[in-house]
Amino acid sequence: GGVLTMAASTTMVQPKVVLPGDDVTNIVLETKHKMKPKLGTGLSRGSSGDKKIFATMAGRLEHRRSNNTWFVLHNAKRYIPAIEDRVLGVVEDRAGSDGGADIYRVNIGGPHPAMLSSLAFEGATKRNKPQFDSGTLIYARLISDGIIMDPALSCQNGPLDVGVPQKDWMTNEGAYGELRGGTVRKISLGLARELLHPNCVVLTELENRKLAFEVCVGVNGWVWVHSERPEYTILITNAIVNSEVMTVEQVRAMVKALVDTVQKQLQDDGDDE
Amino acid sequence: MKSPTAHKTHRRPDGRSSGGTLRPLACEMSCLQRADGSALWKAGSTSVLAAVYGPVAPRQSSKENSSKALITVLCKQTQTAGEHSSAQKGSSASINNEEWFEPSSSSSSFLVDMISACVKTEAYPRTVIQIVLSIIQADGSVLACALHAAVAALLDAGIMMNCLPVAT
Repeated sequence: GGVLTMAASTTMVQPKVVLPGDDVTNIVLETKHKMKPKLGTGLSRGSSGDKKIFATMAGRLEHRRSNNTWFVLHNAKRYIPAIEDRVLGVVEDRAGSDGGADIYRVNIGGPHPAMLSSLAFEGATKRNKPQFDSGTLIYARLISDGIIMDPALSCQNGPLDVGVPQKDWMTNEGAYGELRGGTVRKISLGLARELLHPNCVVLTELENRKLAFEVCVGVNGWVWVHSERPEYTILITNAIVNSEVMTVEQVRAMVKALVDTVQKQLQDDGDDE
Repeated sequence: MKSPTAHKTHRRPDGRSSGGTLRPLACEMSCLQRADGSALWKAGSTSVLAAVYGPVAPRQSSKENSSKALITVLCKQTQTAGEHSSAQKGSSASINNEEWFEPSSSSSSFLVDMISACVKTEAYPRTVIQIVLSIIQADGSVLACALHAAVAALLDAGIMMNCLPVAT
């Protein structure tokens, strides 16, 4: 996909494709770095206490130099919840109440639905809490990953939201909460990660074309797009989905072609009226 | 096809010697849109399509295992699967189809055991990983082909495995 990576953050060694069971101990331990190596997704220690590190997923072995993290880069469609992930969810039902709070069951695309308490919102009290219908779209963060019980969501700022202003839930201007209007599209987890990258080409290009829009990307592979016209919303959604298999140059050309076509069509329709 | 030790120059219908040569292998991944992972595995003219759904919550919560994922395997054969089987070509009158593969519960449970041993099931507690196999064409070594297709589909789905099982 289209991500402009900076040279310092990419691995300098030859790309290495690994399969489950591959021994990568030598690669990880022999790379010189002042910090101890950390193992990310797709890597695991040997079970018998020996110092072997092996891959558990098929993909490209990647190295983040800033904190010496090793992980296997892969793409999947099914989301597995992890704590502090920021996800989009659809409210299914009110599952019950817990004292003064309502508990909503929210579909986040993972193995189990997540629980969201109506008091887990900024400035929410028993007398002043949000109420949701089925089908409401929510942007929230995970506060428990569902290993023992079902995963739980919260719409309050968390430890990773340092510097984000805390707005009351009623204003709908906070970091998390209900998303109104727009459209949602399911994308792969890898594309969602690319969209969240600060140098994401497709979103930058769309912005450069002077389109007014907002996007919300959940790491669970759901993306919400909202713009002033439905034609632009469809354009942006298509551009995002197309960009997954394109190089940076192709993405730029594709966005230009899409925007020019749609804007010309709108102009022609406007002239006809 | 009955007794490979009969002649030194004995050859199989597709020209291979009886020394154990592999047939050409092919694999196509992510071929199904709606499955979480999918793969089409071909060995010669045997081809098996595997789809992986999961990890998902089981339909009845009583069936879940609190410490690991459960693997279920569904194996189906299409009606025309055995039509081009080389077991039928140029063979003698006897219809001793040892090559003919009928998916049975023993083959399903064999696949479940093999895959459960290799998938890191403790990483996905309280879930079910369902593998659906469709035998498109059966021409010998079908169970091995089915296992490879299932493993390729699990790799496509990004499900963690400790090792890769192989079969012949």
